Amino acid sequence: MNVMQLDAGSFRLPESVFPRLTADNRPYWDAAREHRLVVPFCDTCKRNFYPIGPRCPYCFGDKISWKAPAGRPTLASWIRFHKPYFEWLKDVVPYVAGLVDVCPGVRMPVLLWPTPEADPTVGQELALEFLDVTDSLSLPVYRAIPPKGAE
Amino acid sequence: MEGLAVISGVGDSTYAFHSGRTPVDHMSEALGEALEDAGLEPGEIDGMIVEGGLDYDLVATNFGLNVRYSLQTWSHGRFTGPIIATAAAVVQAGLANNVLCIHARSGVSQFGGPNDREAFREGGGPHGELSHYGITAPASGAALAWRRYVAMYDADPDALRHVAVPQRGYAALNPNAVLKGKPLSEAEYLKDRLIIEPLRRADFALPNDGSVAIIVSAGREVPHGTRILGTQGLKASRQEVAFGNPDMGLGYQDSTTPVPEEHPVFARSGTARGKIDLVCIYDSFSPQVVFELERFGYCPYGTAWKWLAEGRPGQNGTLPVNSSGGHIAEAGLSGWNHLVEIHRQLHGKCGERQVPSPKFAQYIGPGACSIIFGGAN
Repeated sequence: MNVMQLDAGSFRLPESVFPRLTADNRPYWDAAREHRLVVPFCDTCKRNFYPIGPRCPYCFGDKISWKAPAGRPTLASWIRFHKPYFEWLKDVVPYVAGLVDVCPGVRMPVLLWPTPEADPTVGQELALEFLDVTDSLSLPVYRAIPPKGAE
Repeated sequence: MEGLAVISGVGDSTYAFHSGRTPVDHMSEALGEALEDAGLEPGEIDGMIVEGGLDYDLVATNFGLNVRYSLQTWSHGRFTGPIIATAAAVVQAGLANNVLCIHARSGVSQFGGPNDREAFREGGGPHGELSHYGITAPASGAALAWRRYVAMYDADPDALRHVAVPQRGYAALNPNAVLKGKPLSEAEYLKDRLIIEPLRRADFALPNDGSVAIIVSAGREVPHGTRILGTQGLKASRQEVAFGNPDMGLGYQDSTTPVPEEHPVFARSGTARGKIDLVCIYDSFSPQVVFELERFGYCPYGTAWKWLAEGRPGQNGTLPVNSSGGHIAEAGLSGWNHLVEIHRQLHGKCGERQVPSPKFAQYIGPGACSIIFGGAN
């Protein structure tokens, strides 16, 4: 378990936008609370898939387990929010969100945190971290690692 | 080619920011214009398809309509093309003779921001919104797609000015446009405010209020009508994302290698790409224009940004694109104002921005939905 506390700084999530827990996604959020990332895995065709759901989208199999993704996450794309669309984001802008290739079959939009000082690069490697929002909610986030050779 | 049905009349309300008017009031103006354009009385409307907003039965009740066929979709503009195609099928099937297709919006509060509940749907919002990460607006999908495109093809990151500038040029000449008389220079574009980087304010659909009504009628000989020549549907799969092309490595797409697609809308309409005189592309955000030109084969993958930079889509270009100014310069109206523009262009009613004698026009919406229209026979 990663016990390092990541500084949430200005990112103070109000309860109104907490992720909605369902019977399908509860294992994902339960693991995140323990600072573990798990993604759906189809026991029939042996593939990871996303989004979370009751069936494998590749083979319609219904035997689903949860596994830690293998391999290194990389950045498929990224954006920087300058406009605070919600009141609680007023002190957070500008912040950066990324589309992350977590492993084959799993790509997620996530917050890049802490906000990278330099522009990230499409394709660069990322490091998984967890942002503790409350005792019962931790968000998987990714830290942009400077590309090799950069300071 | 005779066509499947005709657009017998169109109407649009006065587009404005913070109009202070209700959506149903905007609808009443659009419907009144459409009935006049079609030469129909309210009692002759016997079918109705409503996109979002006001409930279909309240539309009928408010305007004294008595219809025998009704249908309603969610408010998203991806359903606009399918609505017109469905209306054509409805009149062909004899379920109704004159189908009112109508949409109204209060732009400022609809998508993105504190009044937007989209992200709280089961499975998140339809554009990938995730509020708990501050990913709160549909534009985030378009911004992710454009950044990805630039990296895939080593494109000019500021190439979207070649979408925004010509569309603002068209809108400047369009008396219905929210941004009439307000052209944009390339220098102004480059200084424009970043909203969700890499997108600037000028890349966004306008958050205006307004309504459009379109009447789809049976009978192929309506002299003032616009013929619906051929259609193709809204695709849905893991490969589709709201604001990008398939095979870009976005959303849940498994592939990152684009493969040219078949587009039966050309054969079904008895036309071909080379015969199209005007293309109107759904442009909630300017990158969609780049992506759709490639998806529909007007440019090879990875090259539309260069084609646009050569000035092809503007007033003196080889293929007019979004001649009303589109969502980003005429009005944010979810595809509907593009359909109004096509009808008016095909009948030579577009004044200073009129495309010279267009015969065929193509509407391209999200998810490869497309309709090809022809003017009077």
